[in-house]
Amino acid sequence: MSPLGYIIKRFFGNLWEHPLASLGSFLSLFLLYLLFDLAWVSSLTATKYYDQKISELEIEVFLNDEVADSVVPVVMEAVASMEGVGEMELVSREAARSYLGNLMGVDLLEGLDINPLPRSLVISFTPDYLTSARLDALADDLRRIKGVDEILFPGNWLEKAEYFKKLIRDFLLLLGALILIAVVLNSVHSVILSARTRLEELVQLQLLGAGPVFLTIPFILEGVFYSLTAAAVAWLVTQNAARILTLGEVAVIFPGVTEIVYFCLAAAIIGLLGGYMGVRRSL
Amino acid sequence: MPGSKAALELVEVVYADIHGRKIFDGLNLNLNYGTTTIIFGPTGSGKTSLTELIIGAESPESGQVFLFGQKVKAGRLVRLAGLRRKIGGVGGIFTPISNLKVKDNIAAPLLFRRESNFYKRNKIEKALLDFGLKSRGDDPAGNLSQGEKILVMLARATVADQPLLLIDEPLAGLDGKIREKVAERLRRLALGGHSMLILTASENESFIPEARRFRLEEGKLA
Repeated sequence: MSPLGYIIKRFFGNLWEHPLASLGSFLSLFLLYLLFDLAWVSSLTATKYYDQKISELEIEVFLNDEVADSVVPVVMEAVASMEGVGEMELVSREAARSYLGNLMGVDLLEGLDINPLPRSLVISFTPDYLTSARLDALADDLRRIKGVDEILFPGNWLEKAEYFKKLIRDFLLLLGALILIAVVLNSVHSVILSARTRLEELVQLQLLGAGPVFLTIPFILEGVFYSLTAAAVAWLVTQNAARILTLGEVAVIFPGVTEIVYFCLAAAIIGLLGGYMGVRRSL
Repeated sequence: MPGSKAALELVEVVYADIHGRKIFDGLNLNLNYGTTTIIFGPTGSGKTSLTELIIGAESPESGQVFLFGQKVKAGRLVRLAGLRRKIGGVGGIFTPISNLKVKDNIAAPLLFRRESNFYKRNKIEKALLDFGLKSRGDDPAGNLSQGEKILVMLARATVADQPLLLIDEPLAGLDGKIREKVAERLRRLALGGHSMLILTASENESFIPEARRFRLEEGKLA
């Protein structure tokens, strides 16, 4: 038999000769990767949901009575030229009265000679523009425009949402880092156990003249195999679980195919490192 | 400098175990190609330590070990691997690999040879026949008797034409027919021109009459 033939034979031999140990190693890595995948998908889904809610945010700018109707387009032009402003809608006094009537169920202004409701501009924003800091700055800029009376915007809500977004992101980052450390330790430990079950063979082969590369390669392959298959199967399970999982209005967001391929490659590299570290500690 | 005729040479080797007990104190040994040397020593006299020094698993505190004219340095794994491929080991730290079949045990030294698989298979078949192991080729080595294990190790130690054999207690625990069989094989190997270093606790072993004999005493050969 050639050295390559022996390496391949021993690699598969390691897996089949101790099926329960192999299954245990695979399952523990699979569960860790599954947890990582769930954290990743949760992070993407939460971010997408947050962005969706943020994109629905609007500022309402009320114009004072001194602004003539003919000047309103000038004010709108000034607002539209500001950074981050997306769409804009003018709500006339009549439209405001109609909204109020619909809201209350009766026309509260019936019998009044004049319509006291102000005109307003409802502004939405370009995607990815809004932060609480930018919103405050934008509100200040809007207040400086002549004819603007009052501004209504959910500054506090946005600040709290940002805080929770950061909290969730930091938690998931920490969880991801812990899982990756656990994966490396698990890979190392699996290979150490595997090497210990074959210690007699390894020692004898060393005495017979086997070099370090010859001895380490089957274990490195083993580390790569466990890690790569566990990562790939964890993704398959996550993807299929999402098909039967519905979160109401929230769509579950998955990473793209390229990212998943990179993730599996990273898992293979982690397995390679784990296998190498494990076998170096054993020999 | 090592002599060009020496397969193995130890020069003024001083070695202490991990507890600081001095095992060798100026040990000198010269084993020429094609000769056999038997070293007697009771348990604890350092026979296994001597094997470990020769194969580079341990380093002497002072003095030098030469194999085939090359200095043995523990820790230089790639170079050591090259030297170890020229050694056939039997007994002591050398054991059969229990979970491998007999024929795979015998084949192990051939893994590192650049020879065709056909040629390797022929060598394995010949070794199985020569050492009377033909019927046990597919059995795990762990299932063999002590005598059969010695025969497997002898087959493994010679299958790749290793120029030096290190044999530790070859007849220990053997009796009757199998003892005579192993002794006969060793005699044949000696007559066949193998360089052999045999380590044994019993001074009554006389299976190779023409061998040089030494006794390990107080860390030196006498």
